[in-house]
Amino acid sequence: MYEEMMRFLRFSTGGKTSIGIFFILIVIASNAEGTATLRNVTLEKIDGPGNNSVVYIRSQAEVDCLHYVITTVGPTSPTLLLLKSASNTSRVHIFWDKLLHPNSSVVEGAVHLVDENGKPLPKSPKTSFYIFDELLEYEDLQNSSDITDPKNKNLTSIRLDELSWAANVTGFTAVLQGTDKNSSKFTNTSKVELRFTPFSTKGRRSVLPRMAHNELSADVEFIVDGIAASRPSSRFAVMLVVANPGNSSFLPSVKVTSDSVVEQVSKRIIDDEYAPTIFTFGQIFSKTKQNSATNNFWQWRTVCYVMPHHTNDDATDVKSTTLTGNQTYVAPALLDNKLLQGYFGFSNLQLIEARATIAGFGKEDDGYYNATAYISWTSLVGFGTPPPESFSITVISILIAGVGIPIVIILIGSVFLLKRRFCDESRIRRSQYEPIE
Amino acid sequence: MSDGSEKALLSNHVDENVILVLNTKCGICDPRRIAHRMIVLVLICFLGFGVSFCGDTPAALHDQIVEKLDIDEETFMGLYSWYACPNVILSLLSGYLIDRYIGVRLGSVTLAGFVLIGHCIFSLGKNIFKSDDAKLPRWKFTVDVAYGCGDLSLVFGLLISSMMIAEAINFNVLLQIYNAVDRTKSSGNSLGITLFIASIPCVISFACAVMLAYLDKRAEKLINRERNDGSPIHLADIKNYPLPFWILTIISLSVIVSVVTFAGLGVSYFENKLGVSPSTSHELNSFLYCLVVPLAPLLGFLVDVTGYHVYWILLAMVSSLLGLCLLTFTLLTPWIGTALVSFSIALWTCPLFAIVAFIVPLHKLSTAYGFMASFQSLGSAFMTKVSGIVVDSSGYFMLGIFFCIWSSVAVIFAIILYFVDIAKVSKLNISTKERFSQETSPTELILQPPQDFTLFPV
Repeated sequence: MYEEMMRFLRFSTGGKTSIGIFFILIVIASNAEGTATLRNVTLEKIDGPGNNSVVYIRSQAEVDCLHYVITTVGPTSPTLLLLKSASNTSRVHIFWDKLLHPNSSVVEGAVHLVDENGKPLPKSPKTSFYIFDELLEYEDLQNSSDITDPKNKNLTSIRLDELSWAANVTGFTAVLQGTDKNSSKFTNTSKVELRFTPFSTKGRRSVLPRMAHNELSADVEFIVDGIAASRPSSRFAVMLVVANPGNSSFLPSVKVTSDSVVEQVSKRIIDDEYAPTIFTFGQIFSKTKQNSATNNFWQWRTVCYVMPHHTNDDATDVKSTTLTGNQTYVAPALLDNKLLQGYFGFSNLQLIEARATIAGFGKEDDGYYNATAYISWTSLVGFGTPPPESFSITVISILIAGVGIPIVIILIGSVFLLKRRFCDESRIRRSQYEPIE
Repeated sequence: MSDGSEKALLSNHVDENVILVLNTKCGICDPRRIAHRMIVLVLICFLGFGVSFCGDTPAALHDQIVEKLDIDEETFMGLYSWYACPNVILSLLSGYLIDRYIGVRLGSVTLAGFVLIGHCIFSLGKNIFKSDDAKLPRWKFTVDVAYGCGDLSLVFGLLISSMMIAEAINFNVLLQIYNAVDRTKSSGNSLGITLFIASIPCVISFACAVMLAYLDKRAEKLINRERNDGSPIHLADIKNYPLPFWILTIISLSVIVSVVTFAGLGVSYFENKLGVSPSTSHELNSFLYCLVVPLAPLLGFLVDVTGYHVYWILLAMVSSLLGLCLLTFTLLTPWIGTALVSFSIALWTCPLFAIVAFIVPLHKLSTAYGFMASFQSLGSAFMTKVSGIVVDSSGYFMLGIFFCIWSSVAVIFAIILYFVDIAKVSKLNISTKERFSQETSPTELILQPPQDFTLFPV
């Protein structure tokens, strides 16, 4: 009987293996297809008078064109402006004379979209901007890494528009580096850095936190390196100002009614295989009110790293506050911002409903900021909805095997038992048969 | 039982005192009666209690040991390696020695003595390994108590409960004792004194082993209980054990790796993977163990009453897989998954070890259990390290997948066991009524008591 069973298993092994391979191929195929749009991504630095420059990322496809404009011109805090145009030949054009004009009311129109002939295009209906406005320092007396805890004291801030910024483009990464030679907190090597890396395809970075990305997104890494902390138990945080002006028409005689909202979400996932022990995403969505369609997103894993080379041992938490529309935080970031004045116009900036959140770095018992004097926080910014996190091929194969093998064994065993019962019954019937003669 | 059948069981040289004892109304004195068997059962539970209590003292006093002995975490974990690694060989060897040479009575007394001496030396500050293979004779004793398979599952269930209660008391009480001793004594050897106090259950355990040995010897003389069918066991006989034994060994290994290792990592798993607060994760971990305490004897009783041991094993394995899948793949409340895992822990031992007693001859049973214990120790030690590597490299989701893989291996082999049982007609998966209504040979009569031998007659 065992031999029969073994024969059955050997016979069906080939079938089992082929079924397994078939499933795996389906999975690979389904993962591989999807948005197979080819995008042509260019990254350039547009230099202006003096040391002013703008980093411009253009992602062109057949049906649309995405624009990322990053600058600290003004000087202003590092600002990222996202524009989407239905015209795939559109470009961002910068009038430097207007942009650098000291009179804010003149600056409007310094930054706008043009087509291939240089003709201005209407404002993009799906617009978002993100501003890294202030670097905050507080004394974490409670060892709770919670900037909102009233028992944590001595909150000070470094306005990022007061730093001297320099932009560089190397390969497919743009780096904005801010230093302050006049401040006691900055040594020769201290810096605040922003690194932007756009993507032209779907994939996943090999560097922790290994977030999935698609061709509609770009990686933003915020780095604090070597800045002197005031106290041994100091921690740092950064204020991020977000807005989604959306379809606001900004006509002078019409009261602006914004039909878009900015929402913050904390998303929990079950899979931490790419960033061990990190199960949450922080997300900020810019949405259209009417149909809740997501125009832009800003997403991050709630982790930052305290060494330049990211490892699991160097991970610590990122805790963000809820979005606030408090004008004390928001107004300074917007109103003096040359890039935003150039695109939206100074008078319209006051009508924009911007929100601010503070992302604090650290967790209890991690040695505070002074343990390494380095923070690296990675986010993903892009158009549409964030790319979904999916299981790896390994996990999917294991799931298929885990479900498939018991089913196959049950089937084989049932067939074997039925066959044996049938043979037994026929043998019994034959033995009971008596010939007539 | 009539006088005629009584005399048939007695040897030719029984004396009048023996007949007097057997004819007395006193249930405690008669090894065949329920009262006597209950006393033996209580002694077995305390035997298991003491050994489990001593086994968990390093974990309960982890911080104090690290501080007072001035050792680092790696050395502390090395202590557990000293404890776990010899178990792999000793479990098998002690089972063989018990079956071949020294017998279960002397074996259990010796091994209980080792545990006591080892714990006393440990409390003097020496890193000495403590043999956990004293667990082994308990299994054999349960066979004797049930007198051949009537109530094995219930007894195993009670044993699991007593072990869990010992662990719970250990974790909650030992630290209180240490703090109390530390407050009253200023000489600095409070750790040693606490460990000496923790030796008290070991002393009780040793005393129980001695009493059980005496009662078993007495029962053997009174009712002439044959234990050996004459053929001596050799270690090489292991390869002749029937196929269901090997399947059950793999199932027990899979369960140890998946469910028991998971239970050990519970707190950190709940906190990191499920994002619950530290206090809730401790509550979940306590809930996991606390649910086992009442469930294990209850489920053991159900298994004894109903039979169908293979179905129960299958139910336990499916329950563990379902619980682990819920905890790994969903964000549902963790209490459901934890309850299912707890149910599985309570259920898996009872029918599994009972089936081993059905298929392995009585005089080879200690070797069989010893081999299974070796396998489990090896799997447990090796897989604990692998779990650590998986978490560090790939996170808690992959760790959950790792546990689910082993749990599904257990399910697969439980299904295979079911089909093997039908194919071989080995009648492992039959009702209790059917099992004890079968005709038996005189040799098998030992394994098949008359109705009033069972605690709960069917």
